[in-house]
Amino acid sequence: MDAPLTAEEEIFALALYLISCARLALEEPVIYGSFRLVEGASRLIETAPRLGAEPDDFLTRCREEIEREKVRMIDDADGYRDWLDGLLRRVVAEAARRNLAEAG
Amino acid sequence: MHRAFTDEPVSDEDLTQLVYAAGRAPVARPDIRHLVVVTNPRLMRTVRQACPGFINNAPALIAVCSDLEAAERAVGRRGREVVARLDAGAAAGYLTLAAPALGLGVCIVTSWTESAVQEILELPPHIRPEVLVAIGHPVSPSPPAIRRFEPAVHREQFGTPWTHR
Repeated sequence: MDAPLTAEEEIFALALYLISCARLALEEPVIYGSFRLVEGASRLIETAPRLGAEPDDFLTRCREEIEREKVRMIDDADGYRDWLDGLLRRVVAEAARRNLAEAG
Repeated sequence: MHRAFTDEPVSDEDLTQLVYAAGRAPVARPDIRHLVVVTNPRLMRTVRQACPGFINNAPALIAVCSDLEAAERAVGRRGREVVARLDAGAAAGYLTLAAPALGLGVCIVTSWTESAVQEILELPPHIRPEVLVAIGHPVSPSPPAIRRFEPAVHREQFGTPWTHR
């Protein structure tokens, strides 16, 4: 079995994925670009603990949801958009909660 | 199509069978078709990193490629732009059909850029990658299929539905 990737290798892999998607997005439908971005978010969340970040239960649940729901893109564009709307709202609400809590 | 595979490597014996199957698919001229068999875990990792559609954990792949110069010599511009791609699709189809008899599953991957695959596989400029076929031993039980494709079928001419007489 291969040795685990170093943090540098993990970051390189993520950067490569995003750059590859950027180029591919020029030739794919718009919804595919969205799919690639949410997939990128999932990969980033999955990689974060290996980069030394503290576990984030909220993001972990987000990733589980992304992995479960992202395939809607294939044949249910409206359902995919509605799901993504909901996910965005939950993440934004969490961002506001955290920022406001930090402000005290 | 399978997207979840076990860690079990695909044997050279099985890959040779799949190469044989792909080679039996129609091709305008024998020197047009090139197959690149990849099993190196580091190369497979690079494919997963650089090919956005490769969202599976297969341990191997076969890249079906076309020699564009040979295609154009044989069949002209249509050979390069159309026939080579059709023949490559057929090759992918043949090896897809051969895989289950070997206990293998495949996933045909088309969402990637030619430039990325050419770099990874060190393809010369005149060799165009056409389709990547991920190969491995599927997990059991397999997750349910995402969707089932039923083509529109027409009788004689477009517009008259095919019905079984």
